[in-house]
Amino acid sequence: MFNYIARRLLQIPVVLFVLSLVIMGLMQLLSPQQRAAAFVTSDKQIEHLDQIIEKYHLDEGFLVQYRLWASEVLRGNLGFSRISKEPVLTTVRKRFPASMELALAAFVPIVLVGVWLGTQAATHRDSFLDQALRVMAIVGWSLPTFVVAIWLVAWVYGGLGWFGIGRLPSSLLIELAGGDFRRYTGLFTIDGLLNGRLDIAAEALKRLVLPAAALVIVVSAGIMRVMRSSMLDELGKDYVRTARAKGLPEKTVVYKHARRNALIPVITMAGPMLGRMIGGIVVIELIFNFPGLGEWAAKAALQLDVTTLLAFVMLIGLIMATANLLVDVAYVIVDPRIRYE
Amino acid sequence: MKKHIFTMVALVLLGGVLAAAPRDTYVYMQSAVFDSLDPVQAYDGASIGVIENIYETLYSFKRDVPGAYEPTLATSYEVKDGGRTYVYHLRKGVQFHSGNPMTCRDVEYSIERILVTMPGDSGAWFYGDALTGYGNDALTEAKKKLGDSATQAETDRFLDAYWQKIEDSVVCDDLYTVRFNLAGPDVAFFAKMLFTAAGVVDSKWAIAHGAWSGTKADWKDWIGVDLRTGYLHNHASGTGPYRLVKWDDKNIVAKAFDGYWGKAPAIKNVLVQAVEEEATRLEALRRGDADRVDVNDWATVNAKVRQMAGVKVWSDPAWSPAGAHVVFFNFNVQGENNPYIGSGKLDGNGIPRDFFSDINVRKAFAYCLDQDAIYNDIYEGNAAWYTMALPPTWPGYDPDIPIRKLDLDKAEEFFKKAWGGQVWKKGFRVTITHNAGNTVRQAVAEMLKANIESINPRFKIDVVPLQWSDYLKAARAKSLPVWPLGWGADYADPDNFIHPFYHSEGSLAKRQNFKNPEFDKLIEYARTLVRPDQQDERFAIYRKIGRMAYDVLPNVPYPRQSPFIVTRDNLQGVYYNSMVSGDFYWKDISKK
Amino acid sequence: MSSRASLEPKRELWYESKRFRRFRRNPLALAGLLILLFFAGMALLAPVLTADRLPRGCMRDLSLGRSEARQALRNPTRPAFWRAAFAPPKSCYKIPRVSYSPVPKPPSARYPLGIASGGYDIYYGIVWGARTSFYIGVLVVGIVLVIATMVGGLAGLFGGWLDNLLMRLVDVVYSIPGLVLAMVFASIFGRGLIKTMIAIALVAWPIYARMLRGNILQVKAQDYISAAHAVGAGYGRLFFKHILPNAIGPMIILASLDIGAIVITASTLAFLGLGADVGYADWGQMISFARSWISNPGGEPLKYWFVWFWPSMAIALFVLGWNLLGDAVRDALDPRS
Repeated sequence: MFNYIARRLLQIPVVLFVLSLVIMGLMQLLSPQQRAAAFVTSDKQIEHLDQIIEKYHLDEGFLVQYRLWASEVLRGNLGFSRISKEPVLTTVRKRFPASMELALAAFVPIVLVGVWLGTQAATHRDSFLDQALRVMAIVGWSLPTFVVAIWLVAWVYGGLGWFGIGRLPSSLLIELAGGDFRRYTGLFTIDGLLNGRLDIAAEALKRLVLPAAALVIVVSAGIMRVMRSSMLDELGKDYVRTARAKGLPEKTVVYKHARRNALIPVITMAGPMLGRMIGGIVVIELIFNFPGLGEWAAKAALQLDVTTLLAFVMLIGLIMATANLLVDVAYVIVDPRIRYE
Repeated sequence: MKKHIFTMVALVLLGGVLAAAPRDTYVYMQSAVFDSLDPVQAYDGASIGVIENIYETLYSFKRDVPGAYEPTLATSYEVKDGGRTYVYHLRKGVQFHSGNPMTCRDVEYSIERILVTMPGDSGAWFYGDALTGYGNDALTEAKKKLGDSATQAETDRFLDAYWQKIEDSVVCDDLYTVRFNLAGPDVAFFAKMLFTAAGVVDSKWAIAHGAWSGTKADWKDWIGVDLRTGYLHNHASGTGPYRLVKWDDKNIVAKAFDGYWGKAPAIKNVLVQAVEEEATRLEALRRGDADRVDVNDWATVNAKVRQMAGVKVWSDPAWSPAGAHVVFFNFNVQGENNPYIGSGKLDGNGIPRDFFSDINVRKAFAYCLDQDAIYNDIYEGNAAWYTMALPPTWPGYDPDIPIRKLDLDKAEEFFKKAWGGQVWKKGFRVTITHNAGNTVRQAVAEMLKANIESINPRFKIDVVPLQWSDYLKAARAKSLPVWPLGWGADYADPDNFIHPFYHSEGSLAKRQNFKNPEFDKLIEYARTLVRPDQQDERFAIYRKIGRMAYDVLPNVPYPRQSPFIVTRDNLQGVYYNSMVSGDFYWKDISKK
Repeated sequence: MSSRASLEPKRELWYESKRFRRFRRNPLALAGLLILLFFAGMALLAPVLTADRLPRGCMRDLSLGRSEARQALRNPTRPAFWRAAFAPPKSCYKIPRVSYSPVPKPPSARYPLGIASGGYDIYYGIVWGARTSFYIGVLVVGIVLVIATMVGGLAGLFGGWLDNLLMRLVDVVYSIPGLVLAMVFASIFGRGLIKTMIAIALVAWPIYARMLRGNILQVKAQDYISAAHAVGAGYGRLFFKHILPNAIGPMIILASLDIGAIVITASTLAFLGLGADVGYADWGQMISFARSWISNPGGEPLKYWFVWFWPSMAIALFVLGWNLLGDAVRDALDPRS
């Protein structure tokens, strides 16, 4: 088992390395002037385009550019982000908690709602509840995340005036710049409570509702579908029939035994679901003006800021690889029959 | 515990509990992001809009009187040696945010820092032009002059000479008198010194925090450096009425400076936020979360802002932006396998490289540009007419020069004359490019297309949006045949427009390969008219150039949107100064 | 004669099979099919539906005058009708601009779905957008299958270090969420529908490559293959004659069923500013230029509802249709139920 984990951990840097090669390589498809897009942002600076290209080594060959970047990275310097106008690591440190807060705020409801509704649908198969849930799920899964976000902004925020946009209101931002507020985790909901500032925690929570809702609507639909189908599979199996015949209460059969086994396919889906969530976070942060990593990356992609893109892709690669490894480990815990060599 | 949860839930659901900002706080949500708070590095409106409230120059723009200046860190100045020397007498008793007193040494340090670093993507070039005669940093100039194969000794010699020029150009006669020795007479020098790059920086503070030492000892380490990696990028100590508290990603917080030499401002706290989604900005305005917001265009103002309660739209037909928009023609299109010129021949499937060198073609295109539609449809009547590529309220502008309006008959006439009738017979195909995402330029391009194609079915126009990266490539390669472009002022002197647009060495004229010796002669002559009594003659020359441009038609100017400012209605003292990046200084406004 | 006929086993026609009957009885499946048929009809009949409002460039490229167009395109006997239906010129995909005003105008008799910001006719955009959506789906699936066949085929057939290398490549692509990687590719390739489709395809192929490789390994293990191989049949022959024809069928079906997800990615990219150019008949792009008119602070909140409602409904329904159909087909093919 440990051998397996060790092997998987060693694979991670290799994957990241290849990723960085791919992205850097793709940038070589562009001419030096095109690569200068992140450095030259207005017509006024075009006069000095050649100078700028030379300064940032944009006209050098692939190996030279990669070597320059890699040597800096190995020294711990991930470079300067032309999007946030500060060192990449500084931005990551600042924005990661924001995206994390959003992800956590969505993750818990996603799992609870998805698993619970899926179970309900399976246990009330073919009833009206089941049909309704199935329709809701497939509609939710078919909606692009940005469409749901837009609908929420237009109807709930714009129309009803509920909740909020951004991460904190202006007045609190001015206060926070003052410096009395201690950041423990970077999550404003928790830090607010830890600092004894209920209002900050409340405002942060208020602004998390809509973005998280957008994620929940789409991703929990997917979880629900998988949960339902795998529950149905389980409930059709012999051991369930036997247990029922033996006289075990229905609740025990369903919740204690069948559901546990039904979770395995759901865990399999955790990887793609996480992927869909990260993709969703990118768009949601843009629409809700939420200052997280997703927004940063989206802008970097649009403006061809390679430094930022490389850092972001590395980070996501690391997160996904870790998540996948955790998922595989979770398998072993949930299903003792599974073994790795 | 339950009570707390209940309070939290209630707070959560009740929107707007912590809404409007207090009376001494000003919140501005703008559309653009900040680049840098280092006065030498910043060259974008968003950054300059903050810097101009934190740092001060020797003279600054007078509130709402266009073209007027008032003494700020200097109390008086003299021009000597036929415009080669400027002497400023500095104000005494001025303090920096750090507490250090301002003396001539700080001014010397600030200007020399520009000349030492000369970042290529900043406005440093026009200080270099004026003071040392070099528009690029020392190493670039060395390479230009000596070539790639220069020896270290040769380069060092050049660098030493360059340093000497820097030292000689700014001199402190005494603690409160600074003397600028220019490379040559420059009539626009005074105006250039109003740009934020010349903001006076607290030299002791800067040096103590790792900036350039101010001496020859380490100047080579700072040549051409990207100042975004330096301390002044996000920290500041200036003399301005506001001091920088924090720059956190997209938010900048500033507080009124107690030791300010001038009148204490009414607004004590300022928050400037970069919010790119217009919907978010407008919602914040409506709720009172923001006191001022950027709005994209007049159409949005009329459709959405005017219906909001508690909001005021400031505008005045006399307000005029410090910029110009034109459609450029490329007289000699470059680039191998250029997709924008099709076949490259006058055969109906492309255009020859010198297609636009025929005045008839240019005139025909000009008559196909529907200026009235731009004025009325796109800007809903809130725009300024442009007869030449110069802001209408600036000296040297001639409002009596005619503007070619849409006239398809005349256009047809000129198309028939073009290239000896070949254009009409064979037809052509050309691509009009525009910056992707710029809806006004896209509309201008499509208007041209619609009108030109309606004249002769053999005329084919493709309108192609260019991503910024592709635009850079094409601009550098001079491969765009015809395209709309906008240009903003760096400093308040007409030469800042006339030269780039009309002189063959101008940064814009170069891109279109426009060379007209008559224009060049006049512009160069105008640059020699540095005395105050010669200014009328200079402006008369610029008016003449405008009239010549009507006949020669290197570009077609088109209307620009009239400026407007959108704020909550409890804001007072708002005015518009086209040279102030944020339209007005924070210190002049107050809230009821 | 008759006795001979009675000895042969009766061959089951596909529409009589148990699987199809199950499919037929599934109401959600039928709903999905109907939705897709609706959009397919809209796409095919686009020139007919918009004959009275074509952009000038489109008519010029079809060599039709304005009044001529109205009749010619609605008349199946005219060649222009067929040309427009199956191979319309690119200029027909540019939504015609009624005016240059940035303010949207509500639905009217002449413009039944309203006019978007910039004067774009929404009805036209929705109708031709159906074509674009099918085009995107089919093209991306095509590219995906080509890449997946190459990679999966090579990996499965040759095994060894090549297999290892290619599967590591699969891991690399898998390690990043599809949208993020597609965003990176799309912005490097540049704006434009085809470049964006390539970007999406480059992100979507891994799962099919793995599938094909798995199929190949399964087949390779079977006796008749090793027998054929022993007799001297080359790899190429084995692959193209035995393996590919069996494997490609399910692959095509499953890839096609993922068109829903592909359209979601494409419209998200368009919304972000990658993808089709402004003014192109693409639903995602139409939402993008509706962005500033989604909310109307201070006034009637849903005043400009039509600018985002129609394109987002179109996308949602289209994807829903594919997903419903996809679910039903997968259920039908599933050996377990």
